[in-house]
Amino acid sequence: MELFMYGTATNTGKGFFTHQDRQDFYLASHPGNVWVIGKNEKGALWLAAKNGVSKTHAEAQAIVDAEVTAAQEAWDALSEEEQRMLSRPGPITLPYA
Amino acid sequence: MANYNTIRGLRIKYLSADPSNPEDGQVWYNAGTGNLRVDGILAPGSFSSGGNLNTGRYGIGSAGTFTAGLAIGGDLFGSNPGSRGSNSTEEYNGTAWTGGGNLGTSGSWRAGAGTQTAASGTAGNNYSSYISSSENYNGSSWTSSTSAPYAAEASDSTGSQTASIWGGGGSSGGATSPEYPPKFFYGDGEGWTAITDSNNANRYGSTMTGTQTAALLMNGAPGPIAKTESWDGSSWSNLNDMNYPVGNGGGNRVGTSTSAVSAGGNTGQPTTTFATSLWNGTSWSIDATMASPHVACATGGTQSQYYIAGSPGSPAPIRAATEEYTGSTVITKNISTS
Repeated sequence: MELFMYGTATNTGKGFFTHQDRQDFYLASHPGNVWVIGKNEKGALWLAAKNGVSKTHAEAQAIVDAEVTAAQEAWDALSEEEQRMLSRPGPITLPYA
Repeated sequence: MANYNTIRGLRIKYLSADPSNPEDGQVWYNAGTGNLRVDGILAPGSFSSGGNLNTGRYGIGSAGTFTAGLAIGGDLFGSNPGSRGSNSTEEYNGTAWTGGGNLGTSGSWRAGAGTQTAASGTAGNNYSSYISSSENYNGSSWTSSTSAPYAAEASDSTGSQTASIWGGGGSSGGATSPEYPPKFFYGDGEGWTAITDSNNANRYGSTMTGTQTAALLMNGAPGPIAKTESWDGSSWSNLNDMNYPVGNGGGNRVGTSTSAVSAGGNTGQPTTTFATSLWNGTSWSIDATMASPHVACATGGTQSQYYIAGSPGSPAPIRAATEEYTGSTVITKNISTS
């Protein structure tokens, strides 16, 4: 049984996810407005209610990878002094199960 | 087999609506909604989304409370290359962020203290160098005050504008050697007086809460470290370590020295964490997981209700997201088989 589903949705602020949502299903945000959501009925309804777009794991991972690459390129372009302030972004692997 | 009446001394009542003051463990049938209900279920603490910052950033100074919070300056990396230091101040009311008066000197990693209407922002980084300049806020505008004893970013502060404790952070070394000094000072809003060094160095991006004379100092970098210590107005005491080392976490100005929080942060470089922990005055326990891994963010409130705002993202672009924590509560729930 798959534990997670994936989608993109823009966090609109207050009310975007609630305490009840967090107790009803797993929820974690990642770069590129990618959300990893616990795969149950309430999780699916939440993504739909937020006008989210459902993605496969591979599609969601590709979005995150592109964001990471862009962030790494931005970091590489910084001066040495500026680079001291923030470590180089590292890869992110979305959970898959 | 024992029945419910034997166990609880109560019968399951058939009611048209929920009772006004149910007992813990009481079960009833709500004929109005058609649900079998039970009271006294402990719901764990959790995060919900709060109002987004108008300017997404990290390396933010914190002051104020949950319903009267303050986000001071910050790093705009990712959205504004070449002009990273922000002069933006934003005020939180528990629902939304609104713009406040701009800092006189743009910068990030300022150490905040005080309230939304009487705050201080001390030292930081203006992306030419570490800075020692300090400013005081009156709820609408910032004015310069006596500079900190040394230039530092990601230093630590708590207390009020006129009775704060400040120190740690990352300095340029030299006169303040080592580079991550354990030095601490009292501030009165006008000047600084040295106090005893903390027991542990590497207090860059540590989390600090409490008052000038009852403060808690936890975690930090480089390392990161898991060290916890308290200041009682005359000496530092080592306390139990956190369950995991972390730096640049949230929890500044949340709770007290005996009821504190550590939320998010870097558990390595560049590893970030969604985890949060609670301090009960003696030991740490793992608590709710955030929806995103906030780092070097603005925080304010109490251990049972606080906000955490901003982050460099995981990785950039920087994030404007705010999350609001509500601690565990006793609730009434439907009894169902699903």
